[in-house]
Amino acid sequence: MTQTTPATEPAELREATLWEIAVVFGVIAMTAFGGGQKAQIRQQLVQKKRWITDRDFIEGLEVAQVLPGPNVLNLAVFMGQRVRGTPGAIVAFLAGSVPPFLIVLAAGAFYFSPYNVPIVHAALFGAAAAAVGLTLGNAIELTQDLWPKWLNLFFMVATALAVSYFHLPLVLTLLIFGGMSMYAYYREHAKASEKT
Amino acid sequence: MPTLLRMALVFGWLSILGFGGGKGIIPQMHTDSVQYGWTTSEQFSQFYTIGKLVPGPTTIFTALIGMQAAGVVGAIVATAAMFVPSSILMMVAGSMWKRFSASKWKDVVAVGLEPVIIGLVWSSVLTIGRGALHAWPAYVMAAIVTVLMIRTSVSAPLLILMGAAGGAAFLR
Repeated sequence: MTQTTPATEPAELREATLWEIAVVFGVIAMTAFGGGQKAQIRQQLVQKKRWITDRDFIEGLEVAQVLPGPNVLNLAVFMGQRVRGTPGAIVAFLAGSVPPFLIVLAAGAFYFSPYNVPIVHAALFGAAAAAVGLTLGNAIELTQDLWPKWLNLFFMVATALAVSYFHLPLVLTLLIFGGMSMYAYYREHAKASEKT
Repeated sequence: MPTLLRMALVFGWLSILGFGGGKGIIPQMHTDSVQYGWTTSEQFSQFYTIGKLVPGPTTIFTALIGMQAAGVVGAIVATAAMFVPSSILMMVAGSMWKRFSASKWKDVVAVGLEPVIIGLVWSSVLTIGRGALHAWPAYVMAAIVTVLMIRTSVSAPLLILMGAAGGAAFLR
């Protein structure tokens, strides 16, 4: 009467062709705005395509977010590699980067053309003002995540001042402030694990 | 140094430093692009805006800097330099991913670096703002978009298009 198969039993994974990889990551790249669609990608790859287990997907997402580079593109490269090795990674990379590149190239062709008349120029100024608003909104939202910890806020403010007012190069910023901030996290973490 | 080689080196280096999804590299990218005469501050802000408007990673606007500096070939070189090095790192890490996922350094980098990345986002606001806000209506629009972004779920490209409409109406 009752179901004997546990609901958590993993479905069998499917093989992926290079063509499928190209299509899936091409579509993801063309519909990905600003990196807010990881849940959709997860559903697509884990449940619909069944290329990877949910656990492995989460691990891959974590690595993609930790390493430098756009998260969604990193994730594509990781998945391509997991599913089809190096050729899969290369196909996923091209599918994730070439379509947006062509669109931006088209936008650039227009920007540098004589059709860039004064009204388009004014529209671009308005759009740029909106982009400042988006970045500021992003900064505020991210800061809220740090809020109660004064040491984090200190590293944040110190970084912003060093970069914007003292023009500290990015590599030194990451080494000095990033190094201190990571060390602070590491020490706190080490202390926490000592207690247990 | 030839422009193409210089761009390959500059953007390749930024690619390797692009922690936090690339959010933190905007100020340095601006400094380099203006210093080497590839763009003005104003153009940089506009290219960044186009990067936020089109699908794909925001840093795809590297293509526009390359295009401005050295045409279509410049766009290809700049974009490849921005995306290939970080992707190769990802491939290398991906093939050793079992070991990576087991180690604790992941949290140290992801969580430990966060305050610095967010500080760099604040710097990006100043960088983009300097090239984008020249008249008081622009400040008003930036403020409105900030509130809309935080309080509503209107998508980023739509907010940029609203800004464009506002600009065509008020910033001529």
